Amino acid sequence: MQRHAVSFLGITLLAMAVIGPAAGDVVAADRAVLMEYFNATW
Amino acid sequence: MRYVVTPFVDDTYPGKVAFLAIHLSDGFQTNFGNTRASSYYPGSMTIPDTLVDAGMFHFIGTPGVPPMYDPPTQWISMVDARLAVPTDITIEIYPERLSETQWEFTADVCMETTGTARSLGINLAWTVDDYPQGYPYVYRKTVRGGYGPEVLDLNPGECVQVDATFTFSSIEFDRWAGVEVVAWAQTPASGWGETYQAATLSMTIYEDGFESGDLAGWTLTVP
Repeated sequence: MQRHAVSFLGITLLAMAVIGPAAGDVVAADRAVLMEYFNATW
Repeated sequence: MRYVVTPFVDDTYPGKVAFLAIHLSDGFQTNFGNTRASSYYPGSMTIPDTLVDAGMFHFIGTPGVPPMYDPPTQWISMVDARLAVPTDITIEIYPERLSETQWEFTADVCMETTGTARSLGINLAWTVDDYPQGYPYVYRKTVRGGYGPEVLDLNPGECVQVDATFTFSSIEFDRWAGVEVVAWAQTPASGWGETYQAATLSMTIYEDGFESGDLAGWTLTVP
């Protein structure tokens, strides 16, 4: 039973390692847009 | 009241648009703004003239239906197009009060682990809302000064910091809630380029220094 528990933990960690980078690819950084508006009071 | 820049800057895309109204040749110009207009971009700026993400879009004229320019359909279409483009850059702005009138702002610019190594031109500037006053129009987000570009190399998973010290005057202190700091990272060379990311920091929460831990401006004493 103890070996099964360790094995399960190993599979879980492996799954997290695989899923981690994939999730990072999907969730890209939110972008803010720069707007430069050239104007004058006249 | 008529607006030169509509509430679009805050209401349509809250936190998604870093807006710099750069005045030219009207007494409210700045060295930083003049340099953006005359040296960074090729040719001369028309008034009004809008550049989105350092030249990814260029729009001459009023962005919508005058005199309110509302809805600014031309601006909306440009912003929507740029918001749809993924980016590998993040920016956070950290403030530190140095003295009664001086603040240092640090732009913490990071590249995601999946990003592409390259050089970035990092800039910081600040704007004052509803300034100048005394005109038939309300002027939003007027640039009062700036720093940059500071060109740095950035690799995936790394961060770089750029510091800028800004000196404020009564123009800022009288409109403190309307002071906003903007930071952005763009292609380093002059000419039509691309902005990869931008960020804003409103000074509203630093109105009395309490939140920043600086109580120098407080006069109350414990009895």
